Amino acid sequence: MRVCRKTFIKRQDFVKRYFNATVRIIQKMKKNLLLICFPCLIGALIILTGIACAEEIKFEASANRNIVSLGQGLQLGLQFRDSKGIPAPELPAINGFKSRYIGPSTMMSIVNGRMSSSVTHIYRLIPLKTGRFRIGPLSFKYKGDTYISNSLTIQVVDSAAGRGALHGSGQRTETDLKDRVFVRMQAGKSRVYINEIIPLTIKLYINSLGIRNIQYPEFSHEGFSAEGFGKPLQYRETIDGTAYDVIEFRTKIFATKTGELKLGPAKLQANLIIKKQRRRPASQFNDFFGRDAFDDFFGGYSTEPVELNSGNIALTVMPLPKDKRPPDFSGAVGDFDLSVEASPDEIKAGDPLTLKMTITGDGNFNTVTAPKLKSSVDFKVYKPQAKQDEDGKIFEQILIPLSDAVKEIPEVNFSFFDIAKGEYHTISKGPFPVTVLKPEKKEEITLMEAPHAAERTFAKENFGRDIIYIKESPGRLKDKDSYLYMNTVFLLMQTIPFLLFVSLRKMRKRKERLRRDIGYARRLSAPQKAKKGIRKAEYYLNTNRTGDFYDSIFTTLREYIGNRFHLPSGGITADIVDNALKDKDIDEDVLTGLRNMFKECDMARYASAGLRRADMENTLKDLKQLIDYLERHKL
Amino acid sequence: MTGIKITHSRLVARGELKRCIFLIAFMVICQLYLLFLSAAPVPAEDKNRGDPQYIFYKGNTLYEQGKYDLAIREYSKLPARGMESGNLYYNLGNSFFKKGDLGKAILNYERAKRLIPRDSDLKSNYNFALSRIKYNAPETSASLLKRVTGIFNILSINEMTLLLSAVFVSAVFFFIARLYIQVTRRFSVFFMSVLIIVFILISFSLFNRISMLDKEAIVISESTEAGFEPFENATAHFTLYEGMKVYIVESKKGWRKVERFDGKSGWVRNQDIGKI
Repeated sequence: MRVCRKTFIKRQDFVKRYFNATVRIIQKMKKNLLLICFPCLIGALIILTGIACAEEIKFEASANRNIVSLGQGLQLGLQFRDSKGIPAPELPAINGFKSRYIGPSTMMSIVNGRMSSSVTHIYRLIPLKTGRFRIGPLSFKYKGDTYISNSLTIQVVDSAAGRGALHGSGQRTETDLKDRVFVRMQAGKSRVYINEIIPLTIKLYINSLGIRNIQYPEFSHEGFSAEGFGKPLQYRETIDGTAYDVIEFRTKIFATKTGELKLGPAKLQANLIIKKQRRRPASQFNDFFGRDAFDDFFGGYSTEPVELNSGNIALTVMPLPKDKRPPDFSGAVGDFDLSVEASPDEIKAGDPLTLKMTITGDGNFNTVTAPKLKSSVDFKVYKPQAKQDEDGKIFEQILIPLSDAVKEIPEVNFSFFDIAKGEYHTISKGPFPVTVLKPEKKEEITLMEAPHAAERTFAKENFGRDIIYIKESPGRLKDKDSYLYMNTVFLLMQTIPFLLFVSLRKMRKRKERLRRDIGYARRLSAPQKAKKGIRKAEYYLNTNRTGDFYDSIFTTLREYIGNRFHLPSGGITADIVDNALKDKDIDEDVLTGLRNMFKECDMARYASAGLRRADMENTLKDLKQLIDYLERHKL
Repeated sequence: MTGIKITHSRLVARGELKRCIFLIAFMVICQLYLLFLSAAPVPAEDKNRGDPQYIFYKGNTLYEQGKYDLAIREYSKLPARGMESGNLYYNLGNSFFKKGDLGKAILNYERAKRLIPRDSDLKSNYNFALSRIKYNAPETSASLLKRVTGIFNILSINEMTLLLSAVFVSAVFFFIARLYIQVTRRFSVFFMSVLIIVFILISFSLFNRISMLDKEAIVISESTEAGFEPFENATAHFTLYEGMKVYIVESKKGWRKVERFDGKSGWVRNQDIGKI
């Protein structure tokens, strides 16, 4: 529509210029007036016809059905586009029909953001006789402009046949339905290259029928890759004089394999609103009202799901030519342009820089892969990240210069197959100058290995690795399989701290007891004190001091017994000792000896003269034995 | 009487303090002595066994000349005489690596690891050799206990034994200190529980290491099939690749039953594996 309008404007422009030029020529060349006039007039006539043709588009005649039976009416619509104010034209007498003006119907529509308005004047035509009739072309003059419509062909059948055709068997109805609602599929091209984008339209035609719940069409597309459908367009189209409401679905497809491929059929599901057939026998009541008003009002219409199928489209898919195919070609088909940006332009070796490659143009972006670097020896190259939007495809490639010797980023190449020219095309951009500085540290650049890293880099790193050189000295040579834990000396040494602990603990305990338990302390000191006393007694024995000897024996014995059994030593006598030791488990001989010793001492103190040295030695011996006995026995 | 008692106890307290100081000093000296003694265990009787140093340096010279086979023969004399050292096994591993015998190289690096576990050269060479072997060892998820005891793998068995001994000795000395110094009693629960946990962990780890001593082995033939039975014509159960670590489960006349990392076990010939 838009195209038609443009051509129309162009033609008007052209006519004006041509006319002006003609006038000027006429003024200049009056002599050859007749000679020039004739072709000019003919030209003007041709152009005027063209204008008339152009204006014809704006005036359209259509009928709601093209087969009609006698006694039935049909509606004829005369549509004027882009002009609301045109009055109803007076219909000329149409052969075979009687006409009556019903009224205007205005319509506003917004298609692709452009508003258009139209007025349709509706007439009712009642056929008068059977046969094929041609209506129009109708012409109509308004404000000096002549509008000429298209022509229509209407078939008028006999009343009985017509009824049969319209309300007869189900099959007939179906055939009728097929004319009134159908789906057509059209592909932009029939011979295509593989991966070439093909526009595909699927149109739903509806002629004065109610249709609801129109689903997006589905179509079988084996060997093709298809996008989803966009927002459907809605407009009117006339085919063979019948006006249809058209719903157009558009998509783009491309073939993924070569050969003779079949596309379709397209299937579209919708709900059809149909008038219920009257099944009840006609009653008087119905006769009276002519029809069942309630039926119409409450359930005269029902929806019925329908599946509409289009035909197939045969497509020939050709492979891309093999000769002159660039080595870096990777399947891009269309007409593309490439722009490349590198940033930053000054970096340190080992830091990443980004190469932004934008591919714009027409064609199949699905098969567009990242442009390739001509050489990437001095760089570590990462897998590019792709981003696709409506305008094109953007690839972001990260590169890391490996040394500061790098002066430029190498050339970037992108190859595609230009369908219009039928040849391959390679776009090259770059090289891009870049300043690479030395890295701050003088360490070697170590790069983390990404899983997709180029094999070359990996191999390079492997090359630099080897084992570290041997050791110069043998280290500490030791016996094989001899370990410290098996070493007896070491294991024995482990007991030393433990033994130390045990003995220290014992010492500590004893000391504590000595401090707290006086009885215990006395008991422990008893033998030592006794020894001292015995030594004293021995001394007296040797010096023959009998009195002193028995004194010391008595004191020693008393003190020892007192300490040993924790008795107050001052008041110890034979009786007290007897009482104290009675319960203890002491041999009777020892006790007797003890008693005797006390007696002897007593005697000696009062009558020491009668005692000889042998007696003294015996007493001392007895004392020693007694103490020894008491020390040895636990009491 | 009471006056005398008080002076007495004061005297006792003063004397005890002096003794405490003496005791602590004694303990420290004891421990140092212990460590010193154990750090020099069983010196090798060099003179009776020829000159091991000479053999080692001869091996080094042959290695420098690129005569790896001869170097291996020379180095191998020392283990044959019942002597070993971490450096010796390291050099032996290097020689096998240079010769292209990856399995034996790994075996000797493993042996060296037992003696010099923290040597960085050894670690580097060992990892490099491992990266060269054909199979990929699966990442095994170790249990928490294994990971904790794994910390001690940076120590050799002797070092671990010493550490365990040190923990034991310090526990005993702590008890001794507890006898004389009242303050230590306050920390006894905390200190002892820490010591006990450390002791248990080290002894567990040490026990593991010792029990693994004769069990770990490395596959030294390029690839060998482990069979279901210890016979030449036994049905193959799984394949072992050079450098793989296996555990010896059982031995029988020229055959060893080994367990692979995935728990599968089968019989292989003695010469296909080398004990670490």
